This record gives sequence, structure tokens and C-alpha cells, in this order.
Amino acid sequence: MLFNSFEFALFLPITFILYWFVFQKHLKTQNFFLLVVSYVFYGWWDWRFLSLIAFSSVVDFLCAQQIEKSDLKSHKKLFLWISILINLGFLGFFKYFNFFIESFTDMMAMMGLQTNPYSLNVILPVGISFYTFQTMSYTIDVYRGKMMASKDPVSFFAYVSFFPQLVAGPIERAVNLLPQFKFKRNFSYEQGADGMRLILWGVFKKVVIADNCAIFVNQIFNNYETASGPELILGAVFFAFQIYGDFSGYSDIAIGTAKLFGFDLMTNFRTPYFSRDMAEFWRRWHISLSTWFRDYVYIPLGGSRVSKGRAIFNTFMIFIVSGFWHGANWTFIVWGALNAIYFLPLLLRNKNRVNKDTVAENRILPNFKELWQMGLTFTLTCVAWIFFRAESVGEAFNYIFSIFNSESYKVSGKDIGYYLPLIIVLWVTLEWYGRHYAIILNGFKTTYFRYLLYFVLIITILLKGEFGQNQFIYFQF
Amino acid sequence: MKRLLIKTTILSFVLLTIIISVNVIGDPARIFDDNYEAEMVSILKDNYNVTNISNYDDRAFQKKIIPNLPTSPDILVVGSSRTMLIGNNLSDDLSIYNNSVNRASIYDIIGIYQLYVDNKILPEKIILGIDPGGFNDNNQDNRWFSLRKEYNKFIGKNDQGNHLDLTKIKQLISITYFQESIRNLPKVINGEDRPIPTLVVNNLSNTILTDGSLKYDIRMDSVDNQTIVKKSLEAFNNEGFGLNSFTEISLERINDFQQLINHAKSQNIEIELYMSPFNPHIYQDLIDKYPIILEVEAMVKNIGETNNISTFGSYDPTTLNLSVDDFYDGWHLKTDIIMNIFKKQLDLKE
Repeated sequence: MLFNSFEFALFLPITFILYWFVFQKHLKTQNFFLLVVSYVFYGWWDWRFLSLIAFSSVVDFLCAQQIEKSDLKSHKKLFLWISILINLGFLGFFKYFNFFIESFTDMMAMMGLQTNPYSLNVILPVGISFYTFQTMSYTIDVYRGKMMASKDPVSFFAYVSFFPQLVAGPIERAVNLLPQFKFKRNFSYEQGADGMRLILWGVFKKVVIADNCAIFVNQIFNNYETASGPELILGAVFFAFQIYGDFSGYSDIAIGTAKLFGFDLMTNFRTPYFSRDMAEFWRRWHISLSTWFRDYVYIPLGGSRVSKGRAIFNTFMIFIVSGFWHGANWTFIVWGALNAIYFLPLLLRNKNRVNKDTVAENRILPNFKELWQMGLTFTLTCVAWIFFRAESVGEAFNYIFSIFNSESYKVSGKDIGYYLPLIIVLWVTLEWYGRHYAIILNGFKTTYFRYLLYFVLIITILLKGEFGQNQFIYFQF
Repeated sequence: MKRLLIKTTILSFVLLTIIISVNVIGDPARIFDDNYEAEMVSILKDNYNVTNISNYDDRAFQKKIIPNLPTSPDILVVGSSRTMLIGNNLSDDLSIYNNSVNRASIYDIIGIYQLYVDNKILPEKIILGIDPGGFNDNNQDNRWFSLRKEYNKFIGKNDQGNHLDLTKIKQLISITYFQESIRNLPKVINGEDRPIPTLVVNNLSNTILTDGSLKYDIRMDSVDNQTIVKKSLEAFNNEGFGLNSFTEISLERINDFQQLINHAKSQNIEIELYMSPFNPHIYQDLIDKYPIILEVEAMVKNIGETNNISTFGSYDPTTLNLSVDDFYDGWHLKTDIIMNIFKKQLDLKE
């Protein structure tokens, strides 16, 4: 079920009413209800893959219990590895099987050897990368002694499949989310209002910004050979807006929806395009994934407190794995490597934690230095996004070369129209104004002004939103 | 909780009211306007052609026009938009009526036939335009639902007639439809979106003539080669031929079709089957993509032979020596070309 679908518009209020008015009395019943509606939400896409989530949940529930019960370190390790291997096994099969087979065939062909390996028409279950990482964090944290194993299967299953963030995150750690299933939730007006604000802002970003940008991005990327240089630059910039609007829009709707049910999910994006360097960008972009890799891969590898060579290796490792997590294509690996190249100079000069505050703190506008830094970071990000968006690495390079080799400088303004640039300007302005807040709309304190803003956003969604059932980009991951 | 629920309910109510109101008033696809087709029929009944028409339910139009036909025609033409241009100008001696509807499926053809049965005005001859997509169960085209009652009656299926039209309800609150409706509002307010009676045949908008045939907007006559090629490719790329996921000929539709032939034969009605060609610019690609088109053509010819009824035309443009310029787009033949094909067929029979 898509957040921007008619089905979800019916599903959400019905679930909300039943949750608070019918099942509120008993926590266990309420959790069970959440579990059922989460499975309905996921099964709406393809009910067959519910068995995968259920199986993954059973494995991790049992493994964590065994880890906790056992006194022997080797025993604990065994069950941890069972959990990790089963989770990564599913992920590897469904997401990467054909990639490895095809890469192997290509490599053999390059060496002049013809192979006819077995390939399967594997369907990628929606959200598998997200819930796999979520459940893995649970067993790892139990193994590390950071949390107790859950004794309540209903709470645990509901945690794994919690519908607002099941298919595209935020990837919630068990430490944060699971305890919330154990205590009675009370509805607070502020939390509900915050939830509604987040949903409104998320829908605006998805259907107005991302889906309108997508129309031009698809046009430009699909015909990049004939597009002019400025059009290609515009394509990359629009894609930067598209992917941010799409993914952060989803996260906002997810966090907002969770708030309506009395849950607090972690912030996933904090105005990343206002970052002054790449390190800051990665502290603000897809925070739940970045911190996941930091805590479960980067730090166990030694992080940055190792030799220079090792630090470079670790950095490349984390970014390449992160790229590979996004999809079984070399484009994502190059995207990851490129970000590692951006990040390394900062790390090696110990400047990766310089910009920890929010840009232009206590000022309305940034100074020239900050403007230059943000511009440069955004440009570097856009270059990397070209690889992320392209169908192949070759296509991405051709796209970049075409920017400089194009003989035409014409931009077909007629196709883009005036409204989209205007809306983007409005959006960037609002994001700038609310950049200190996890919920952008909470940056607007004057009630009348906030209501005016709600009105403008709703009208824009109604008049300019794209409601063609466009999937969220991150569903494919 | 109460505060939030009240605020959200009020907001949702206001928004829904605005959306529904604009959708019902603007209504560019005339989903909520039952009068439009009746207005068209009323004009035609007065022996005027009707122009300035768009986005009407052509099945609903057939349901309203057929009971108003004064006599049974000599020849009835039923098919898709590809046979809509055939009318009385085909012959001086015979009266011809055209009841073709866009993207006609076998269900539509049966529904229209049943309307003739119900009104006891069956013709002497019926020419059926058969499109390959008419036998496709997978194209999810449910426009024939407007004729569901008639179809069910023909095949003897019990039909209470109270079908809940979910599409209608969805469109009522659809935001995409709201965006279209709001664009159409000025036209509605200025009264520019209603059908206009005329005695002129060539107009700056599509026109339905008194014989039920269609005359395209006059500007279509001057369509150039480049536009035809562009339109053909667009239709091909956007699955514009009703052939999506067409991998198997529907057995149910074949049976229904056979039932129609049997009934017509029992009423001593002569039947001819016409297969309208595709534009040569895309035909080969279309065959590569949907080889089942060849199977449909063979099947139609086989049905013809088995039932001793004549078939003419072909989906393959080369058999009729057609060029790109003989078409308006990917699959609609120009008026004079289709007229020649039909005239030739009638001459052969006369």
C-alpha cells in the first residue's frame, strides 16, 4: 500500500479509530491489532512475502532468546551468526543473486570464456533491506548486551513489521522502538498535531516536489544524448530535489503516522542540502542508515581511530557497502565510492566534525563562506546523484561528458513551466526557515502564519500534486 | 484527542466538499453528467448533426440513440473507432447506421446488438469491425460496463441492473480528476462545453452525423506525415491499442461471439467481418511485440469460413497496399481510404 494512494487514505483513519477507540484498553490486544494491520499493509503489495517477514521475525526472536539464555560466548556467537546469515541470506538471494551471476558471466566473457550460469527471475520483496537491517540490529544489540531479548512475540513481531516504517524506514533500532511496544501509549494533542504536520509536509514533498521533478528528470535522463548542457545540469539538480523530496517525504509521513499511534521514530533527514561539507551531509542524510552502518560496520572495523591506511579502507568499505545496500548495480557502488572520495580529505585532515551545528546559527541568512560551502557540497552531491540515477556506469559518464560537450545551451523552459521553479523556491525557503527543527513546520511559531502555510501547502498539493500512483524511489531498495 | 479529531474532521469535510463540488461541476469526462448524451440524441433526433462533442460515454449514447431510431437500417456498422467513419455516404441506395464505440470489445458489440433486438429494429446486414484487442481479457478496459445489462441479457445471465460503480465514486474524490475539473470550470461556467446542433459536416470539432457516423475535426484532414508517424509511435509506446498483456485469445469472448453470429443467423441477418489495418510504420513492431495479432486474424477468418460469412480487410496494411499517409495516426484510416475498402466490398457483393 502506498502512502500516496486512495487505499491508504481509507486505511489510516480506519486503523486510527480502531486503535484508539476499540483496542486501547489492553496493551497486548492493541499490539496484536498493530501487527495485523501492519501485515495487511504489507500484504496489500504481495501477501506471499509476508512469510518472509514472519520467518525473519521468528528466527530473530528465537536467536535473541538463545543468545540471552546461554552463558557460553561461543554459543551466543553461534546464534548471532545464525541470525545474521539467515537475514543476509534472504537479502542476498532476493536482492543480489542475479547481480552476482551477471557480474560473473560478464567477467568470464571479458576473459574470453563463455558461461551459461543459472539465473532466476527473482522478485525483490518491497522493503527487504529495511526490515532485514532492523531485525539484525536487534540480535546484535542483544548479543552486545545493550538490551534484553524480548519475551513477548506479539510486541516483537509488531516491532519488525510496524507499518509506518516497514517498507522504507527509518530503520529503527530495537533499543529505541521495541520498548515503546511494552508500555501503554497515551494520545497527546501535541504529538498528534506534530504527526499531522509531518504528514502534510511529507505529502507535499512527495507529490508536489518529487513527483513533479520526476517528470523532467525522466525526460532528461532518458534522452540525455540529445539534451543541451544546461538541461543536463538541470536534470541532475532536479534529481537531487526529487530523491530528497521522495525519500524524506516518505520518512516524514512514516514518522508522522507513527506519532498518530503514539510512537516516536528517529529523525531520518535534517535539511541535508544545507550542509557545508560532505561529512555534515552524511550526518543529515538518511540518518537511520548512516548510523546503522556506523554502529554495526564502521566502528567494529575500527572506525577512524586506526592507522591512516586502515581508516581509508574503513571509509571506502562503509560507503561502498552503503552504496551496494541501495541496489544490485555497479552504479550504486560507484556512487558509494565517489562519496568516500568526497569524505576522505575531511577525515584525513581531521575536519570531518567541524560543522556540527546548524548553518547560520542565530542568523537569518548564511554568510558568503557558508553559501559557497553549501553550493560546493550540493554540486558534489549532484554529481554523485548522476551515478545513482543512471542505468549504468557508462551512461553516467556519458551524461557528465555530455554536459561539457553539448553544443546547445538551450533550456526548454516551456516544458518546465513557471510553477515548478516557484514551488521549489517556496520549498527551499520554508526548509531554510525551519532548519533548526526536526519538524520543519514547527519552525513557524505564529499561529496565523502557520495556518496560512497549511492552506498554501494543501492548495498546492491539490492543484499541483502528481497523483499517478508513483512509487517511492526507496521501495526498490 | 477530541481537539485533533474535531480539527481534522472539519478540515477533511471542507476539503472533501470542495473536491466533490469541483469534480461534479467541472466534470471534464462527464462522469456525473447523465444529460450530455441525452442532449446529443435530442439534436440528432431533430435531424441535425451534433458537434462540439468530447469525452462523452459513447456506450451510454448508443443506449439512448438506438431506441430513438425511426426505422431499422439496411446495414448496421458496429465496431471500434476504426469503423466510426462509415456512414450513408457509402451508398446512395442503402440506409446505413453506425453504432461503433471507442475500443469496442466483443462485449460492446453484443450489448449494442441486444439493443437492436430489444427495440425490434434489427437490420438486414451487420458489418462488424473486429479489433484484435476485442479478444483481450487483460487490457482492463471496463468501458463496456455501460452496456453490461444488455450484454448479460443476451448471454442469459441474471442481471439485477444495480451495479455499484466504484470508478464513479473514486473519481468523485479523485485529486487527479479535481485538477482536470478545475481546468474545465471556466468552460462550464461560460457554457462552452455543451453539444451544438449543426447542418454542417466539417467542423472545428468532432461531429456525429445523423447516420451515427463520425466526422473528425476538419483540421485532421491536413495532418502531415511527421505527425502521423509521431502519433503512431506514441500509441505504440504507450500501449495505445488495447493490446496490453495480450498473450491469449479469450475463449469466453470467442464463445460469446459465436453466440452472436448464431443469433444473427437465426434472424436471417447477413454478417460480414471487417479487420481494420494498422499503420505500416508500426505494424511490424506491433507484430513482433504482439504476435497474437496474427492468431486473431487467422481466427476471425476461420470463424468466417466455418459460419459461411465473408471477411474483408486485414490487420496487415501491406495486403491492402496502404502507406503511412493513408492513416490519421497509428490505426485510424483516413475517410476516403476506408470508404474505398468498404465500397469495394459492397461492390463485390452486389
